[in-house]
Order: sequence, then C-alpha cells, then structure tokens
Amino acid sequence: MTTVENLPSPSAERPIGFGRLKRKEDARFIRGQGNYLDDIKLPGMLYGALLRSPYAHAKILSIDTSRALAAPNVAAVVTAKDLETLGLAWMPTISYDTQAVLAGDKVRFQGQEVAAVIAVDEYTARDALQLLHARSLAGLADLHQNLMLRLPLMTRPSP
Amino acid sequence: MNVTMTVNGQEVTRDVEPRMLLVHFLRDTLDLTGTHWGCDTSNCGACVVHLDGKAVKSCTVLAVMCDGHRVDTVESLEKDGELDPIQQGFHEQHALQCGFCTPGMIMTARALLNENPNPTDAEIRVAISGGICRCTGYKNIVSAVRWAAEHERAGQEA
Repeated sequence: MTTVENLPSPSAERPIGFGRLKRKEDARFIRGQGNYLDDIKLPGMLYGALLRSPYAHAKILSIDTSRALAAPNVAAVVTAKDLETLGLAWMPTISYDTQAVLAGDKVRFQGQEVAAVIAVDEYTARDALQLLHARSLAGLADLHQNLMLRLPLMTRPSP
Repeated sequence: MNVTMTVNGQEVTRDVEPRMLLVHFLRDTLDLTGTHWGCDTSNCGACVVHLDGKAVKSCTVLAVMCDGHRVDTVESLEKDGELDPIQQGFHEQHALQCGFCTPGMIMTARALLNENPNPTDAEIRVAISGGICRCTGYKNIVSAVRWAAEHERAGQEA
C-alpha cells in the first residue's frame, strides 16, 4: 500500500510536492470550451440589469417604474419596496452584517444598487434602465461636512 | 441589418442590431462562447479575437463593422486535432487557473507570434499588457508564449 511515508521524497530543487503536475481541466479552457455562468443558456432565461446611484449619499423620494415596466420584453422591475413586502430588503452578507439589497429610503454609497430590471436580453434590460425615473435629494458631498455630521450608516445596526 | 463575415473560416450572414457588439454577436448569436465578455470597457482583454489577422478587443468592435471581413476566435486554433503551440504552451507552463482570461491571452499571443516569431520577454509583456489575469499571474503566461515561440521555430527548422 502506498502511504505518505513510502512515497518518493521530494528532490532538493522541488522542496514542495513531487514536481509539476499537468492539469486535466486545461484541455477545455485552452480550447475556449470552459462553461462559465455567462456561457449557460436555458430556455426562457431572463437577464438582469442594475440601476446604480450616481450619488454617495441621497434620500430617495420616489422611483417611477411605470415606463420601464411598459417597455416591450421587460419582465419585471424590482425596487426595495418590492423586496420589503417579501421580507428580503435586508440580507446577511459574508461579512456577518446585514445590508440593503437595494437602496430603499436612502442611498449610502456611490454605485449602490437602486433598482433592478429583468428582461429578455441584456440590451433590453439596459435600455429599460434609462426609462426608470428616480427622484432624490442628494446631500453630504463634502468631506468636512461629513466628519462633523453623523455619517450615514452602511449597515443596519444590530437590534 | 444584415451582416456577412467569415468566422473561423465559415461564412455567416445574420440580421443584427447596428449597435450589437462583436463579442455578443460571437457569443450569443453564433454560440461561440470561447470568447469571453469580461468588462465591455476595453480594460480586461478577455474578448480578444482576430479581425483580418489583427488582435482586437471584440467588446470595442461593432458586429456590423465586420461586414465583409474575417474574424477568428480561440475555437479556430486547433487544427485537425492538433493544438496550436500557444495552447500547448499554456498547458505546459501552467499559464492558467480559472481560464477566463486564457482565450484573450492566447489570441493576443497568436497575433504577436504571427508578426514576431522570436519576441523578447519584454516584447511579450508589452503584447499581453492589454489583458488582465487575476489568478496565475503574468510570469507563467510569458513563459507559455516563450515556450510556444521556441517550439514553433524548432518545428519550422525541422
């Protein structure tokens, strides 16, 4: 029986392991035959696009989704309000905290996700983003002002 | 609008939106998913293909611009079951882990060796500088391209 003890000892030039091993998975990757998530197509599959905040800190007054929803080949528009009704507005992260999936009352960082569009393809989904109308009050753009005022909380405080 | 181009040696005609990117034409219309869509801002180089033999980032080329032209992707490199020396080099020199950047890197390297069969390491590094690899690092990719260049030259002399 082969055990760790009676395997040949690694040479001095290769102190770790037993030399270079060839990878089996290379065969498909070097031929362009990997199967990444974006390579998978399923019947009836839909695509998403996200509307992100141009502001670092802003109050969301309203999001008008009617035009995007009425656009052809758009399946759904999701905002924090929709997630709230499902109890999905705040979700745990791998950093052991709880963060907003989509900005609800307030945007807390530039690029934060504000709404999601689901459509038949990526081009249609991105087009529909431009039909979304979000009204907001932007504020706290100045560093010194930020330091003197209470900084917006990135995460929901623990109860 | 209708476009006709030669993709990997085969003439194809399709009706596409004028704004459709070449990378989406290849991946979604022709199902050639070896070409990867990484950033669509010309930063990552995962989408590199050959347009009339020159390496281009296919996220920065419209499908309609290729009308009447020749496009070659990573899927075209293996000929009659024989891998391209660059594909072999990537395997031999452990130049990939996740493989996402690999098709772009390989097509970039192929274009380099077509023009310069004996590049220095510095020339290889300049050539692949438009591609981003987030796992293996560039050292092994440079070794792979060097390996391919050496074996290709040896093959031609033999």
